[in-house]
Amino acid sequence: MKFSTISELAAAVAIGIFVSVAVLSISQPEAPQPKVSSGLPDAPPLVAPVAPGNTPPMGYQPHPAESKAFLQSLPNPTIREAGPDLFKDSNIRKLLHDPPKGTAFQPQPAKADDGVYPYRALYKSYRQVYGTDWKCGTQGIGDCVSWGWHHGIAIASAVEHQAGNLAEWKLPATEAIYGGARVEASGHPGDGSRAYGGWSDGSYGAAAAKWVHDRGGILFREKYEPFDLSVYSADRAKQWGAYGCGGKSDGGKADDLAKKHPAKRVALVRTFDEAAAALRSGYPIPVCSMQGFASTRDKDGFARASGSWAHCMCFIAVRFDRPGLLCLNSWGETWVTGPKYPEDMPEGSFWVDVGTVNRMLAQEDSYAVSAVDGFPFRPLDNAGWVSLPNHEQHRNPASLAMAP
Amino acid sequence: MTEATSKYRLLLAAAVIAAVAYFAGKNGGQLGPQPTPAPPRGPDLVAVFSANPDKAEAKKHAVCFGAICARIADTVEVDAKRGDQRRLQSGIDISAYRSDLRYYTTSGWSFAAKYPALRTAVEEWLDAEAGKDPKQLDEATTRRWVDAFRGLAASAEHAGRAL
Repeated sequence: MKFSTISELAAAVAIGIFVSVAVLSISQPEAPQPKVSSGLPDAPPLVAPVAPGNTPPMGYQPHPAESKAFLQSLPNPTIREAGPDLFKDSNIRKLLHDPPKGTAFQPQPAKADDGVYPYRALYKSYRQVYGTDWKCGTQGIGDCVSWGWHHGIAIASAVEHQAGNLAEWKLPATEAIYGGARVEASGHPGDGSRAYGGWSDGSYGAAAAKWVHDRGGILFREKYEPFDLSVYSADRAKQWGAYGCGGKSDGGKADDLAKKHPAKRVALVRTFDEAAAALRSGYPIPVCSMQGFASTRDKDGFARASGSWAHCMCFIAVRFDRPGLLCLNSWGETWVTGPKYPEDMPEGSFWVDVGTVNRMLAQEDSYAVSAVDGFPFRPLDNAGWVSLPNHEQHRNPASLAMAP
Repeated sequence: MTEATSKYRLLLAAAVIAAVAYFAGKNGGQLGPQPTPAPPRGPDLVAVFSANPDKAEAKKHAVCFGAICARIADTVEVDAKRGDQRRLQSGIDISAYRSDLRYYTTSGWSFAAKYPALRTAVEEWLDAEAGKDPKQLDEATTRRWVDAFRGLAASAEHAGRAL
């Protein structure tokens, strides 16, 4: 082949290179990329969310007499008695006309100071611990009470974690709350020798409160020696709901583990004012009621009260521009649609107006819950930072003590 | 005065001037004895970095460590001015930040690999000056951390000059 000019030669070379690159690209499949470990624990996977229109599981079974007896066992049963300081500077009538300034959990308010959003602490702690964004889970049986309390304790603990008052944060496991509430908190033995709880579903707020605060505590989404709670299992929830925390023939070992991490405080919340005061201080409220809601949000993110749900959810934020509480469900992220406010409000949540909140709380089975106990701070290791091989190790204070 | 005496005095004056000039030059331009720079208040990092027989490399490492410490001090100080919006709110936060900064500045390389005594020197200094409290920082504890890292930076910079 002859080229009469240099430009023809150059064009031929360019075409040749182009064809070669194209052929190589087609003939050589992309080399698999090595999987880089982040060094963080895997985030707990989620159950498939509830599709709009499907009938989701609920599981709230009111037990007014037992709830009353539990309250009488508490030295300070109500939020006003347990936390009088919460009300000193939080007169709600004043708040409605003079909204509070932003808090640590409201770093960049979308508009003038309009609420308190403790769920943002959950976003931060979850990302720090698991390396991914938190997503709302989906209950698989009628274990809503354990989900409502799971969300409450997760957020309350995240608030403390983000404030620097809790050394570690982990996602609580629902199955342990469910089993403990149904069996041990009802006065049955926690050895798993019999299916004391029976095979029907459901529980109530006071039972969960008694378990997490008094009789037991919290297990987390992680592997334990006799069982693996890393992933939510509806089947395990069913089993533990019958045999108690730890399941069949557990011998009470799981109860002993849970008791290391009790919820520090629980207190009955009966009105919007009380709930708002609790949320302003970072205490969410697992709410048990018979109130149902529409599956669409209005322009402000509120869902209309509609129908009857024997259900437990969790109040996770308060706003005052249009007064209401943000309610987090446990049916995944897609069961409710419509506008959101603020933009980062969790998928699967909706705002509830004051009147409806007061009706829900009048059931007197909803409690403000605090962070878990049992994560004491360890003193800082002032030597390890000059030599830690993995920069992520500082996330786990326990690892600091083992640094070379 | 004779001409010889006058010449003699001129020679003597010249000799005195020459002698003064000579000794001034010998003492770095100063007439008196050279003042010794005050040793930094922080730990003795000259001894620590002397563990490396390659003095040029040790000097570089000391300067690098000093820069990291100075950066930590500056960051903690500036961040504290953000009030409620500060990012370094607790001892844990400072612990995380200093680990990240050291890791990314050295691409993960460990100072303790070549200077095993650094860990102890740093630990003793920070324990004494800043404490080990992992919880919330206030104005006083923030200042202690800033001063403690400034002290470390000064010691490392001094080691860099002395090596």
